[in-house]
Amino acid sequence: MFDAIVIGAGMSGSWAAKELCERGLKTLMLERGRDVKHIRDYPTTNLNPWEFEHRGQMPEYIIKDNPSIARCYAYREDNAHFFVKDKDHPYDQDKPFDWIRGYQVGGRSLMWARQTQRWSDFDFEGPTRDGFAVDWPIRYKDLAPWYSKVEAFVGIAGNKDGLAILPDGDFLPAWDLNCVIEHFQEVVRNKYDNRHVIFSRCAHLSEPQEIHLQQGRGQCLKRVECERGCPFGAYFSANSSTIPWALKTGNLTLRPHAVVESIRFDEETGKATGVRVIDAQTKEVTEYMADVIFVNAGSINSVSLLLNSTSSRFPNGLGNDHGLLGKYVAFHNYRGKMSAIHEGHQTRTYKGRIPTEGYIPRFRNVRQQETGFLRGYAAGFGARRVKEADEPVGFGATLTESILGKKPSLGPWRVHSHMMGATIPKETNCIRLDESKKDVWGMPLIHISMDYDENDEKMLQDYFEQMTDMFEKAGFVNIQTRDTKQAPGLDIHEMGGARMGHDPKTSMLNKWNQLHHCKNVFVTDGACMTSTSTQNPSLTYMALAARAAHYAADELKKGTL
Amino acid sequence: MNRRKAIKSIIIASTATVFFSGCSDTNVIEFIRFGKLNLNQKHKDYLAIISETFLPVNGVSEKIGNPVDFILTMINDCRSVEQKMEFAVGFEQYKYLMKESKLRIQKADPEAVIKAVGEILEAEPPGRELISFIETVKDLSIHNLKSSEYYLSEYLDYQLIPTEYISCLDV
Repeated sequence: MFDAIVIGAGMSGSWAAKELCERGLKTLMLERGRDVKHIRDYPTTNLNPWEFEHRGQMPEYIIKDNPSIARCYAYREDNAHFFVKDKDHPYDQDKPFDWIRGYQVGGRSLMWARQTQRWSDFDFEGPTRDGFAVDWPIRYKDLAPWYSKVEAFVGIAGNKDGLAILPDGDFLPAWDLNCVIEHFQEVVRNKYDNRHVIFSRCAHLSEPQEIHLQQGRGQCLKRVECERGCPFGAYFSANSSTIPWALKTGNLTLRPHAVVESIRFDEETGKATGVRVIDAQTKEVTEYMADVIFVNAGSINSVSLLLNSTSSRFPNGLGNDHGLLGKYVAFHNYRGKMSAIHEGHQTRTYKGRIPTEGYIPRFRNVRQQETGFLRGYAAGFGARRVKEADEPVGFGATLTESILGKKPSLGPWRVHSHMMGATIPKETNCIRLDESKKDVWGMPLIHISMDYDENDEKMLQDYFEQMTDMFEKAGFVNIQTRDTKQAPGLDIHEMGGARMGHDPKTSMLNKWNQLHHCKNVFVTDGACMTSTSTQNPSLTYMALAARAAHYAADELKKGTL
Repeated sequence: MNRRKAIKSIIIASTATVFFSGCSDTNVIEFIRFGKLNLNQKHKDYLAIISETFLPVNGVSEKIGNPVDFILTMINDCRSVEQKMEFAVGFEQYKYLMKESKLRIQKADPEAVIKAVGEILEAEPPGRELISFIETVKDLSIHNLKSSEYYLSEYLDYQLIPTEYISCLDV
């Protein structure tokens, strides 16, 4: 018997566990994948590029067997061991959906892009203003202190930019941006009223504080090999930070290889009593009991788990009286990419590298509706100048001379941008359980149905038009736009399916992330999201998880949960 | 047979995927087992000579690493079965061409080999497998060089841990 069970040892689950353990609750954390110990299990972290057998290229047989993850920008030879193979964990899909997963202790916190931005009330009030989904039951003021708490512990490098659309936090120093990003920053500032290019806030220890040193984490050395796992703990991962912190309390029991089959519900008390777990390796079934359960298995898996948790009271899934569970799933539209050449600043360059670039917060439809589509997009922006070699030519001595005879020289400044668009949650974008197909543990296969819509297409065109205009004003040339046409999923920001809301008739979770109809179950990962906005969502998941865990601990102590 | 005739005969033969009985040693195609190309030492040595002929790296070869190991790893792991087959057929055709051109493996003048290769690349119609083999060996030899510690350190100043970050400085 535990006080609390946390399902999922990733970004948000580890935050729930940390908070619960710090509050003195005996907590069991269940992770379906293997254990990944900080440093010990980062096998490639100190390898040089020439030490990789395929020098970064993925073997053909892996690509063939795993077409979805092979399309992911982050899936590489140096970090392939952190990605779930498509064929090991199949799922059904009506339309293409590339589901990128990390089944291990630490989850996707090992592989994330580490970009961290707060939401503002422009985001929380979006559904009500624009008439989609349901109203969020919280506002920025509810989450702001939890953003601060998380930021202080995680360590976020950033500037106080003073933008209402992207509230400032408690930041570590930002690194300076290079002169071409600064040039673009100045052009945008001078030519537009409401557009800004800022340092893209990221979860890196640019200047570790005492709290980070206590975690055993150190200064970011700007290697930018982050997705291999950082041996210095310089970027935030559950493995380097929240999980060891929770373990130090003596209150955490971590159980890897634990596939949670369902949450058990007691009809008499109207509460969940525990979970039924299948050992991923032996398939042995165990039940664990607890007073409170946090569901943090990752949006789609969390929804699936609730759908699979049936009882006489909830024949369609735990808390799912209205059939909303699994519906109104959304994601981010990352289809737009741009590139160009900057012919200026030829006498300037930079030295070394940093793990982030520039960021353009949302500027469309912020204070009023001004386009033919709802909501808007943020954008990444970067400028690089690297040594470029001439094309190798000929054979024999001629070929050697063309490669080794002349050292590569600085090429032109190349600028690039990518779009991060909000998508509107729709009933038709949904997750359900397959009625006939089962996985290797005998659980129903997950069936995903997601697609873009007209709003996404209009937004994409607007991104191209607006960014082209901005690039032209900055004097960039050879401007290229590219619609990757990538399937949903590759943004790795799937959200919703068990949304928060005021009304139990139209939402699954209340303002504390509790199931309306089963108050001792909390869902604090991406599944809880009512809408998507444009920000990278992990910081918000962590803040919601910390806030809900704190509330759960309070309620347990009061005996009201 | 002169070289042009040899090239022509290879091209004709390759369109029907015919293999040559004129070579006394084992046909490369026979080294494809269970979807992998497992060359014997003799063929590895031959491939090393081809790579060195295409991209001579005298004086720095020890710093670059064995191109044959890299070429075979990439062929085996990063190419389809069809591409492996094409490589093997092209290799066999290359051997045949050199033999017909009286260009002995160990003693051939690199210049003469390159001249022969140049004629292959300019031949009409092009011999798909042979050209693919030549380009693959060339490209992977270049890849091996340009991803080596020597090249990355000496030519691109690569450091796993950069000494410093300076956001803006004069070129």
